[in-house]
Amino acid sequence: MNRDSEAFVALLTGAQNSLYACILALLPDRAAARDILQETNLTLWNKAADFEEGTHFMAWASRIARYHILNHRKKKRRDRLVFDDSLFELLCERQAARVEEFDRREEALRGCLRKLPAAQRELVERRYADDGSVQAIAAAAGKSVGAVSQTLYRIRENLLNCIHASLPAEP
Amino acid sequence: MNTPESRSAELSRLIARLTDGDLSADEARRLNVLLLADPAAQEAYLDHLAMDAMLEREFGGAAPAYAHSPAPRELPRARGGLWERLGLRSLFRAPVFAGMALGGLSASAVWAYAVPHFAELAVKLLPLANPGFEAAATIPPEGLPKVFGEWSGDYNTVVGAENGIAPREGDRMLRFLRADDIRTAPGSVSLSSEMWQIIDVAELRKTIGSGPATLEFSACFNSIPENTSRFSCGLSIHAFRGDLKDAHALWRSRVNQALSSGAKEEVLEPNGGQWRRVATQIVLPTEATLLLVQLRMRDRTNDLSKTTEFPGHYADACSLRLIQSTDPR
Repeated sequence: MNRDSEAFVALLTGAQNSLYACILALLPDRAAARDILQETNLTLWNKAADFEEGTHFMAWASRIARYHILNHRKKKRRDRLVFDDSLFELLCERQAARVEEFDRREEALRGCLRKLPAAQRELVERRYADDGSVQAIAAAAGKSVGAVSQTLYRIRENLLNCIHASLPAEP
Repeated sequence: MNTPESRSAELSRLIARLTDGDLSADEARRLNVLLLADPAAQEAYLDHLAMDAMLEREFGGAAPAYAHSPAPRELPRARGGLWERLGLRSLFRAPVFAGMALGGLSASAVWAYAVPHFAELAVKLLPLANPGFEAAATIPPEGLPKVFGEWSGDYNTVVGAENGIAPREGDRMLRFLRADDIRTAPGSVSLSSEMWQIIDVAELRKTIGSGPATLEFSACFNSIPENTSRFSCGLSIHAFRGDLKDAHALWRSRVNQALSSGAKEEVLEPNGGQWRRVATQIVLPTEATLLLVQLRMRDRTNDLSKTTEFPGHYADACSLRLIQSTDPR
């Protein structure tokens, strides 16, 4: 596919959130995940001619992302990696089976966020805003970090349940 | 005790600590053990991390790095409270996309723009009249506007919640009614309902300065669930050099006359009634004097037997933004 075509640019830009989500799950290190996203983008851009129109863009892009994650893992000290190799491979396999639904999940998330109670939404916004941290939120609220962290976990779980309910059932 | 319930609670706690940056090396080893043994736990982990990533993008923050990560890179900060860091607007996180958005530049020029340094980019909201359709009961169905800063276009109405669809923002939203306007010649057929606004670049320059600027135009679209894939929604932005009085002629010859253009169109596939955000970008050349932004809803059947009427198709929450590097270098 021509990398200068509007269609390729649309695919690439439209896949950014999904691609980042895909990378972060396999490499749970935000700074490294952002770097990998950038490296992946450059490779996708360079290899646009290899992408066949009509095939699934995210499947192709996530394969390239996994290749970059693997390279990153090779350069890192093992004790700096969250997952060992065997688990990483298992997660990669599972991730590959899910890539096609990323964009639908992202769309559903927006609807689910609108349904969140105001206090929960505010907490999520503060957590993910600039300089947001569980530690800062906990200190401001006079709560323990663990309590805030668990509240956020439950909110994310509720959002996941909402997304699952929003998505059409598998045929 | 090592019951499924206790393992599930432990998994939740460890994922929460990983997500929030407190996972110790011992806990990381334990997380490995729990995940390795349990496919359902792997699915739960992938679900939560994907959610975490989507929220990070949605709310635009740079949440602290996880445990095990090196110290986060020092990133340029947003300036002056006016600037909103781009997180969700992922396409601009990787500046290669800012480069790719430079419509009209050659690939090599784009590359040269994109590669030298991965700067952080920021957005600033720019003035757009009546962006959420809160200010008028209807938009004049008079085709292209004759003045700056007003919507005009095809037959439409401005409504509150209806057909199970609530406005994306505020209390009202635009409803596309027909693919023609009061000046459409009898007997002619149109399949696309359009809405335009002309923006005075001289006014914009007071905010964005005199140099080239990357602009993003976006809007949200929604529709009733029936026959969704028959329709597509989209928008465009075109920059021209010319006078307001010539806007109609410039628009008609936009293929040749536009200094730069951006457009995006998406088929309204079923999506559970969610609003979909569509965006496109251009570089505004220094010599541009007019910007023309357009919203449209299109009938994809190409049935030219009659002008299309739209049974429940909406737009809301339009915005025009300046995209600019915050890198001090």
